[in-house]
Order: sequence, then structure tokens, then C-alpha cells
Amino acid sequence: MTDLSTDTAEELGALDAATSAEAGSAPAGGALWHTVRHRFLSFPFALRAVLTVVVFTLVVLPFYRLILGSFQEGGPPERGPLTLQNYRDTFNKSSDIIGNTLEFAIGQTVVPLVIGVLLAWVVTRTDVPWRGVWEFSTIGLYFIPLLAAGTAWSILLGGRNGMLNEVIRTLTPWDGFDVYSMPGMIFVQSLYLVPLVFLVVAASMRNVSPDYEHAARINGASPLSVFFRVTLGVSRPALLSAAVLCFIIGLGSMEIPLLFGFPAKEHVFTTDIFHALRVRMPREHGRAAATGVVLLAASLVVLIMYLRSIRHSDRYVTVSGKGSQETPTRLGRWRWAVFTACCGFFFFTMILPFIAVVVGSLLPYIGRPDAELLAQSSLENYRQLSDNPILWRSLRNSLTLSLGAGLFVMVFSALVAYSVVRFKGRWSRMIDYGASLPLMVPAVVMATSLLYTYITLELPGGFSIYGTLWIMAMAYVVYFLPVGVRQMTGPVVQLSADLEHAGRISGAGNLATMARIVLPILRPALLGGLILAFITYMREFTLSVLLFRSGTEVITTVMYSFYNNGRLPFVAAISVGLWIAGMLLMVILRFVLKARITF
Amino acid sequence: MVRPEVTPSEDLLALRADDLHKKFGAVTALAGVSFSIRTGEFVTLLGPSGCGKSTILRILAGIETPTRGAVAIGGKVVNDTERRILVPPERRDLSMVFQSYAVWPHMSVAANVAFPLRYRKVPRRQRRDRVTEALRAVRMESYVDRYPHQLSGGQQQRVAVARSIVGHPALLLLDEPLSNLDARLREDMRVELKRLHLELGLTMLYVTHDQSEALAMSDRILVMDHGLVLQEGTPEEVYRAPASLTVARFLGVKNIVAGRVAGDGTVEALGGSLRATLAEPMAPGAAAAVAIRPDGFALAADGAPGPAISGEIRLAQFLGGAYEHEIDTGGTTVIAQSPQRLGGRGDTVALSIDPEAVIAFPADDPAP
Ligand SMILES: Nc1ncnc2c1ncn2[C@@H]1O[C@H](COP(=O)(O)OP(=O)(O)O)[C@@H](O)[C@H]1O
Ligand SMILES: [Mg+2]
Repeated sequence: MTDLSTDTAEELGALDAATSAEAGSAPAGGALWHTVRHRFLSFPFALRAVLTVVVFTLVVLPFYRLILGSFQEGGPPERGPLTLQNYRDTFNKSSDIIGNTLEFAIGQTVVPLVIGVLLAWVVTRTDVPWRGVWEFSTIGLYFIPLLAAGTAWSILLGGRNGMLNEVIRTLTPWDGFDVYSMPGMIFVQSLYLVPLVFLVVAASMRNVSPDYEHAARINGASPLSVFFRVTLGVSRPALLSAAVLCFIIGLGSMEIPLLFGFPAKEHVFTTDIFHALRVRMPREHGRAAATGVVLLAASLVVLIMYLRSIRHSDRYVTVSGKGSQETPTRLGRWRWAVFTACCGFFFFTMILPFIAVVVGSLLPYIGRPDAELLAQSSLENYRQLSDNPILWRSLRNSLTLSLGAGLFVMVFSALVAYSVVRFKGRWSRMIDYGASLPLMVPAVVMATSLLYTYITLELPGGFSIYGTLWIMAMAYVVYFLPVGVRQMTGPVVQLSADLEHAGRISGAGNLATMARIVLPILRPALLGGLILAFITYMREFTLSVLLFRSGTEVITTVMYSFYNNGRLPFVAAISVGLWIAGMLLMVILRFVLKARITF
Repeated sequence: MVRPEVTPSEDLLALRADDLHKKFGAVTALAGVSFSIRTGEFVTLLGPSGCGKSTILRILAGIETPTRGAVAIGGKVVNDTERRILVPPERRDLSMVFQSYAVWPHMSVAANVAFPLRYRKVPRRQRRDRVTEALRAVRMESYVDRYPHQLSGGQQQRVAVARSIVGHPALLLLDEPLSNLDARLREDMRVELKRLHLELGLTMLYVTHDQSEALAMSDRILVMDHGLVLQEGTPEEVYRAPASLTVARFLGVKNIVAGRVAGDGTVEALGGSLRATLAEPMAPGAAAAVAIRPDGFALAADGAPGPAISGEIRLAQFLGGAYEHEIDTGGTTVIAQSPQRLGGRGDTVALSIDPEAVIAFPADDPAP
């Protein structure tokens, strides 16, 4: 009984009252040592201390640096005197940027919301044929890198040379549709945000008891008004949170604005930050920081509006619908019309773009797809790419980062979920808030703030993490952390504390119980989360393009530089590879691991 | 308050719990519980749900800390709030069977059972034999390679028991281990657990809310309510001489009737004068609550001793081993059990009541 390390899964206060000094015979300094040992070396304390330090380093500190730096002359990383000049610059230069940013963010919120809700309703509440196929293919859209999809639409509808535009011009009196425009940006971005809306809304609609709908039908409501008044009404909180999610993605994501907005001269804040930080000389750090803070403020406003509007969401708690699969709304003669619409959506989001990247990858240049051009198709692009050392390096970087950051973020998320569920209390809740904060932060702001915090940091030995894979890994971890914690909370809640107690009583200490019992039992959930994190990282572009340097390129940044240099066929070839890999992962996740994908 | 040191003469005690208190916020789960268990003894904590039984076990195991009190296992103090001693669960020489089984789903049966051996410094070579031995003891040796999800609830329970005995712990704690099993299995398992206790010479602390389990298995029973031990004794003692009306009720005495002390070891009840045991001294004329065990009734005509009362049989049921009757004795209905049929529905019979089966308590005895 010399070692008195204590650590039941309860509030420290109670433990402390019971054991706040060394055993009777201890020397005078014993009481202090005992307190140190029991309070500060206890497992719940140590675990939460580690989690707190990591969350602080990755989340809190960077935002503090960003906000502070935006008020300093010259901006971060210099620590100049306080000033408002950065904000004046931001607003002077960018009156149309504000408008564009809002237009893009709102457009790419409304469109996927409409499509996603309709699809969720069709899949969960109606008798349309092949519901499983539509669900699978909609979720599958998340597994396609947005950069690859953007490439595909660039090949199809990019300006006069877009293949589809060429065809349209030849066959009809119209000019086609230029995707290098604000409507084009919104259109493409929206198609690939649909899976996000779908996942959130479908999960909520599955929980709507069909009795609500039946009750309304019996009372004389038409199927359409049942949909609007009952199904949508009950799913309102889910709709709102999907909308907030989309809006914040719209404020912060870089792919489509950079690919399409640039040629169209439709600038938004994200591209503006990109130019301030990575293109213009001298760098405009102050303005970039101020712009980041403005974006942060905008998402905060949206978040507050959201929280206010779901204040009474208790009202929406619904009886879980056991029979919702068995008693769908009968569409009657609309059934085949809806089926056709689903086929159309599938064709326009998956088949047509995939054909485009495949064809594009075989051609020497993109243009009118006539016999002359098609005759030149070959595997030459693939051959040239396979000789490109930077591509291989970037692929290795992408895989290393995605696996490494993915493993770390999932284990870390499991530990956060564990301490929230097991230790409860205010401290654990603060950790949870900290880990969830990044959900409300546009990606571009996340990258900017990490950049400012760690650009000047020098570790012992002159080692700087700026320009290494480490800073990118940090950004990746922050980016997925909120989703990871959500993924792990359910499984941890289901984990009976008795399983751990049995381990302790069998002789295993705290760490051994964690390593041999808790984490292994959570392994299926961890693996599912890891795959989701992996795919999220492989498609990630916004963070990477702000943080990479020569040597730490990832696959998406290499695609972008090819795109920027007009090598669209190369980008198409890489897209084909990522597309196929994404679909394979999706199939593995769904049919081998049988994981249900949720956010 | 100064507690006596644990002295060498107490070495035979497998467990000693001293003045355990536990508060969960405003809820008092334990209000001062003390008891000890001798090596090799089978002791049962019996009490209604929520009375604090699990809390005691969790404190003994070290999963929970008491607000106040001390615990010694095998003569070694593992917890003493005053001397600020708290040994973590992994270094107390005991094991526990949980109500939820807590068999680890990611490990095979063999791995589950072998787990405690890893920490008890059992050489790798011996582990397999010990696992086999433990599994044989619970008749599960043919399931070594199965995983928990391939086992029924009863089989998982056996694995949990095997895991708890494999390390030869000084003390085995069982928290309502049978409550999730169906009736048939519960009977079988009850016999098996008792057999293990005898064959392996285990020291067991068993928790249940089922009085028949407690009566059947225990060397000693501690009857609990509201975080206190109400009575302690052998099954016969607590059954025959409950110390309070609550204990009597909890042990399944269904007949509690109003009466009056008549002096001379008799009470007036059920329209007659009954010989009774007085639970405590009571003045003649005092109001009493009279507990009558159902097995104390017999037909007066059969020459049973004691004064008789008369009543009308309302219902007679055959239970297999005995008959149970509902008898109306002038407005008060009592339950009488006897090996023979006392009569048919509507019969009026004269009954004598065994004085041993009649215990009178003061009427203001707080009812639960
Ligand atoms: N972790 C806890 N937090 C708050 N109250 C608790 C906790 N554990 C037990 N209790 C309360 O303590 C009392 C005793 O519980 P318990 O020991 O589980 O009873 P039993 O096992 O006899 O059914 C109950 O009133 C219960 O509600
Ligand atoms: Mg209990």
C-alpha cells in the first residue's frame, strides 16, 4: 500500500476528500506529496491534462494569435503596434469580394439543401425503386475529391473549349454554359455538398415516425403537404444544422473558387487570402489575418442564429420510427418520374464527370471532341506522370499525412469522447467544446491561424515545424477533430464501465485497461472513423494549398499546379486515379466493414 | 473516531469493512456499515434494490471510494479514509462477477479467462492449465475458442465466473450474478456456485435481492435496507427470528396482522389468543404488529399444539411441494402453507399456529 495512485472514474473532488494526504505515519511533507500524487498524478487528471494541452496548442492558441495579429501593424508573425489598418485594407479593397463571398456561400447552401433534402426524403420515406443504390451513390459523392470533380466539369463546361459546350454549340443554336462563372461555381460546388446534407437530413428523417405522416394523411392532407408540413417540419433542426455546415464550408473552401472563380474574375475571401499569402509580393499578412477574422465573425453570426433557432428543439424529439422502412409514402404514378430524376442525378454527378476525366486524361489537350482529336488519344499522359518524381513524392506525402493524422485524430477523438462520457464535469465539457470549435471555423481561417502561430516557432535544435509535414498534420487533425469526436461518442457511450472495472479488478492498471480493453473494443468504430478521416484528408485542398512548401506537396496541390499551368489532361489522369480509389474505399467501408457513414 | 489497528489475530478474516459511509451528493447510499468475513465463508448481502448493496461491493473492489470508513482484505488495509490509504483495484487481491457479466467482447473465452493471470505473475507455461482448470470448474472447457457473441447469457455468466476464480483470489465478490438468467438456469447456477464455493474453498461475498437465493446458499446473511445492516445471522436465525418487521417482510413473511399484547407470551390476534415470541419487551395491552410465517399453520384437529383460531378457506392452491391457502379469519386474510390440504374452498376450519412462527413487534415499528 505504498503506491496510492487512485483513479476511479468519478469526480476528483470526491476522491480528494477521501485521500488528501499520505498515510498516517508520513513525514511532514507527506500531505503535499500525497495531494500531488492523488490529484495531479491520478489518471482522470493526467488524461484530461494531456487532452487540454493538445486542444490548446492546436485550436485555442492559433485563434488567439490570428485575432491578435489582425490588430497588429504588418500583421502576424511580426508583433507590431496595435492598429486597425488591416481591417481598413480589407474592407477598402474588397467591396465586391464581400458580395461575391456571400453570393457563393448562400448559393452553395441553398442548392444542395434542396437537392439533399429531396434525395433524403426519396430514400427514407418513399417507395421509389433502388433506394439503396441512390443512398450509396449519393454518399459516394463525398469520396470524390472536389478538385477531381471540378476538373471534370472544367473539361465538360469550362469556357468555349469545354467539350460539352463544343457539342452544344455544334448541335444547337445555344452557346452552352460557362462553368467559369458565379452560377457555375455554385452549381459544381453544390453537387458535391449534397452528400453532407443528405447524411445529416436522412439520419433525422429515419427517426420520424411514419405515424406522423399517416396521421396527417388521415386528416386529409395531400402527400405534398405532408412532405412540407410534417416531414420537413419535424426535420427542421437537422435542416438548419446542414445549412450551417454548408455555409461555413462555403466561406472557407478554396477548390472551386480557385479553379473557376479565377478565370471568371469572381474573387471571394478565400482566394483573396490565398493571394495575400501565397501569390502577391510582398506578402500581405495583416490583411490576410483581418480577412480571416471577418470570416470567423461571419460564421459566428451564423452559429448564433442557428443556436437561437434550435433553442426549442426539444419539441422536435420524435418517436423513433421502427416501421419507417416498411411503410414508405406511395408515390403512385410519380414513382417512375422520381426514379428517372434519381437516375439523372446519378448520371450528372458520377457517370458524366467520370467519363469526362477518363476521356480528358487520354487526350493531348481539351477541345472539340471530334474524330481528329479522339484519334490522338493515348496513355501518354499517364506515362509522363509516372515519370514525374514530384507526383510520387506528393502521393507519398498524402498517404503518410492521411494515415498518420487519421490514426492520431481517431485515437485522440476516442480519448476526448471517453473523458466526456466517463469523467463528466465542467473540465471535460470544456475539452469537448474546444475539440468541437473547428467545426464552426472556415478551413481557410484554420490554416491561416496555424500558419501564424507556428511560422516563427523554433523548437530546440533550430527545428521549425513551418514548411514541414508536421504543420500540415496539425491542420489535418484540427480539421477532422470535431467529426472524429462525434464518431466516437456513440460507441463510447455504449461501452459499459463494468468492462473496464473487470479489467482493473483483474489486475490491469489504468493504462493497460485503456490499451487492452477500451481501445480494442472501440476498434471497429476507430477503423470506420479512420477511413472517413483518410478520405477527407486525401481530398483536402484548402489547408494544404496554404501550408505546403516545396517538398511537402500533397496530391491535391500538385493537381492544382498542373491545372494552373494549363495541363488539364494531367489533372484529369490524376483525378481518374483518385476517383477509382475513392470508390474502392467506399465499397470497403460499406460492404467489408459494414460501417454506417454518419457525421 | 479511532479505529482499532488490524491485529495479527484477525489474520483469519478475509475481509473487514468498518463503518462505511457513502454519499452521492444529497443521496446517502450507505449510512455506516460494518461487517467482517472469515476465510472460506459464504456471506450474502440481502436487501431490496437501491439499498446500497452494489455500492458496498464497489467500495470493497476499489471502483468506488467511501465518503468515510475503512476496508481490510486478508489483514491488509486497502482503504482507510482517516489514514488516507487507498489501494487501487488492481492491487487488491479480489475478483468480482458483475450483474452484466462484463465479459470482454473482443477476446475469446480463453483470452478472457487468461487475462487476470497475466497480472498475477503466473508463468506463461502454467496459464493454459489454469485456464483449462477454471473453465472445467464451470463446465465450459469445450468453449475455449468461442467469442462472447457466440455464447448464450448463461454461458457468458460461466465465463465471467471462470475469469473471477482463475487467479485464486482471496475474496470473490458477486453482484446479483443470477438476476439476468431465466428461472431454470438460475436454479442450476445457484447450485454450481455453491459447489464451487465448497470445492475450491473460496471466500465469497454474494449480493442478491432474492431471499430464497440468500437462504439457500449462505453461511451468513446480512439483511440491509436504506444503507444500513438491519440484521446479521445464519439463514435459520434471520428466517426464524427476524429482528424487525422490515426484516420479516423482506424474508417473505406475508402475514402481518394487527394485535395486542396479552401478557404471558401471548397476543390477541386473528380473533383468538396466540402464543408468540415477543421481539422486544412490551407491556400487556400494547398494540403489536404480529408476523406469522405461512408454514406455521396446521389443523387443530390433527392435535397440533397451541390455541386454535377459526377461519374460512377462500382459495386453496397446489404448489407441488405444498398447498397454499388463503384463509379469512373474521375480516383478516392470512396465507397458510402446509404439506397437506387444510380443506376446500368455503370450508370453515379450526387452525392451530406454531408459537415459533408467531413474532410480535411493537406496532409503531416503521414500515418500509
Ligand atoms: N453513481 C451514483 N450516483 C448517484 N447515486 C448513486 C450512484 N450509485 C448508486 N447511487 C444511489 O445509491 C443508492 C444505492 O445504490 P446501489 O448500491 O446500486 O443499490 P443496490 O445495489 O442495493 O440496488 C441508490 O439510491 C442509488 O440511486
Ligand atoms: Mg445493485
